[in-house]
Amino acid sequence: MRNKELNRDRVSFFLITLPALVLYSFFYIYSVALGFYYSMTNWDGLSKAFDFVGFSNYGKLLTNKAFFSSVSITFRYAALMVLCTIIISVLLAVSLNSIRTFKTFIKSVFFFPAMISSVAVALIWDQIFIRALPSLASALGVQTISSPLGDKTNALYAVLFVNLWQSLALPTVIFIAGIQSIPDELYESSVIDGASMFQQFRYVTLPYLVPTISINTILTLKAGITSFDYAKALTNGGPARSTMLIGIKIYTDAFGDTPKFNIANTESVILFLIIAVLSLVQLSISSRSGVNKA
Amino acid sequence: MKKVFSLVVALCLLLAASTAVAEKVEFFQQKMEEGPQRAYAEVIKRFKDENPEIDIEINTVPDAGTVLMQRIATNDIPPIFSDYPTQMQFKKKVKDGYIECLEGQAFLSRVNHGMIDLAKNLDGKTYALPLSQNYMAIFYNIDLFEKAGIVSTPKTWDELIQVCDTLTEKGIVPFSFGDKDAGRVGHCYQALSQATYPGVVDAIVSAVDGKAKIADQAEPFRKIAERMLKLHEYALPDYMGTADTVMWENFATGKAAMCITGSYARGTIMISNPKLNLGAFPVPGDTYEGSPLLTGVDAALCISASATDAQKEAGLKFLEFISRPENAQLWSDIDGAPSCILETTYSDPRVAPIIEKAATGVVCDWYASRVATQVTSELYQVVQGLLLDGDIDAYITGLDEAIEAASI
Repeated sequence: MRNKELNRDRVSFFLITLPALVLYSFFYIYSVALGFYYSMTNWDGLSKAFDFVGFSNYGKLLTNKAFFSSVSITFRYAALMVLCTIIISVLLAVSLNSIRTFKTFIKSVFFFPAMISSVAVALIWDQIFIRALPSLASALGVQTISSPLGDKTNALYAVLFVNLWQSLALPTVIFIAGIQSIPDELYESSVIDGASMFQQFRYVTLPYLVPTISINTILTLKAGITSFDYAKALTNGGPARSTMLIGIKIYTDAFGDTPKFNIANTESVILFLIIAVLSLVQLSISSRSGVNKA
Repeated sequence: MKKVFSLVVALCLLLAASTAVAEKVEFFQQKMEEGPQRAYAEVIKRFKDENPEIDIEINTVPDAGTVLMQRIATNDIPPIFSDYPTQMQFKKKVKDGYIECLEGQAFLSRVNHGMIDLAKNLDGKTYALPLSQNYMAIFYNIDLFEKAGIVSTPKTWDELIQVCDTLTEKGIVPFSFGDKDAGRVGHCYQALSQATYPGVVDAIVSAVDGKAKIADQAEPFRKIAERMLKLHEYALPDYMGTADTVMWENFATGKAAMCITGSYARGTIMISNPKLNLGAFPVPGDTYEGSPLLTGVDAALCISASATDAQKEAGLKFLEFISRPENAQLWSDIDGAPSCILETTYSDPRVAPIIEKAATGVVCDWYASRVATQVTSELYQVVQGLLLDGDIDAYITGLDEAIEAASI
């Protein structure tokens, strides 16, 4: 009787998940499989006929300087993004959580950028960099302030800044939820033991936040490696390829005037593998630390 | 009762017929500048008056070339679209059967024969109606030139530098550049490089074909680089962070006396400042006679081979309409580019130096007519790098690396 009920529940659960499974399989697994297939063809995206070429596209990419340059820029961007996101959002979360008055209002102010479309944010900042910054410099009588988007060294940081300005809200909310799940007794005990604010953060808050840090790191890493919209709207990969993130390269190769859909798909598959490996490594590291594993 | 019912049905059918929705036909046009957008809108308004049964819906998007390519790849081709028939990417679209052949259409006889020849495909047939010509030029503010006491436009490189020095002495900034976008840097580079060294495209083609590296024929490329850098010494500050629209605005509002850009920007500049006393002259090389004017077919209209019969018919009607001299004249007047249609005039005396130069026949086409756009895009990035760090050796090496990177 009990087994019968259990089986009925299992069937119900399966049926509930079935629509999501079907949609996921069609829009994700099928697309990935198709992308992998096209990466092994010579289809440029326009021709009506194409041939199977095996792994030759992979061979071409592995000797292509432009591809490696894009990968390197993307890694630098993603690493900086993870570092800045984790540090700033943890600090923001701790600060926002300790506020006693106007808590909801202040939190919503910090969350506001997340409500705007990323391209709109990029275009707003583009105008600030192009028009407001030089005007401000001129008003202050400073001649040296120019748009960072026109500088090979600073363009990537300018794009990163805009990206962070908008994307910090979500990790901060996740961290706030993480902090609020820490039992108050631990803080009370640490106060009795004479722990300073920093020691409370180091020995109570941080260990409990490790799973949250892990999730935010994976999400931010993926967002950094696949970043496209900010750089596309702000610099289009320039100046002189200094912000040519892999996402822009894939887009340009796929949909440029002379498209190379096969190459773009090969780049996407490589990017997919990189993200998968990094996520596995990150999960494996974080599962060995934190408050439950210490 | 039956009669009343029949009468009601008949009335309903009559009403439905009288309020029939016009056939909507999308026209995807690739120019983001304000001038051409307004020009098309005006012509379409006239077209609707004459053909109320056809509703041409204009669609202009940013990054139009990429969007068009994406739509073609997903078999969502706009029934009517503008494209660039001299470019290699267009020839590929024709080869893959995406564009309707226009051969034999009577309205083609209204087009300037030179432009029709230029727009012909590899198979010798015409697939696009050339509507306007473009040219790269140095646009200049006539009032600022007069204020500086400059009475004639420069015809050689040395004269141009003299003009720049004179303007600087009078406290006028000679050039407005907008180098934030590599594409705009590239257009300026194309004009200056072909004026400086008419064999530049041959040299790039030979590098693309693997016959000779740019480093092996570096001298003319060095000279072009030096000239690019020299002109930027006379520019408004922060040109690398300046977008094209800001460059045109700066020039239109008199912050700089000159601006190297294409005829595509003329309408937009005039919209920014309708009172601007605007002139144009060719980008000069060492000698007037030896420096070609960069010019080509600009706006050209095509019909999708996969459009429905009704859409094709509507498209052909629209092409016939826009190629009538009076409509082409209206389009040209608003856009600011010379028309390809016979019996139109482009009589603005202030751009006479361009017309005179074109008449000499010393002209050249854009790189894209012989070099894949992927290669030219990579080259533009290298030139942008040159403007940033001024390193000519790195630029020479970079050109070869860019060609190699694009050859994948």
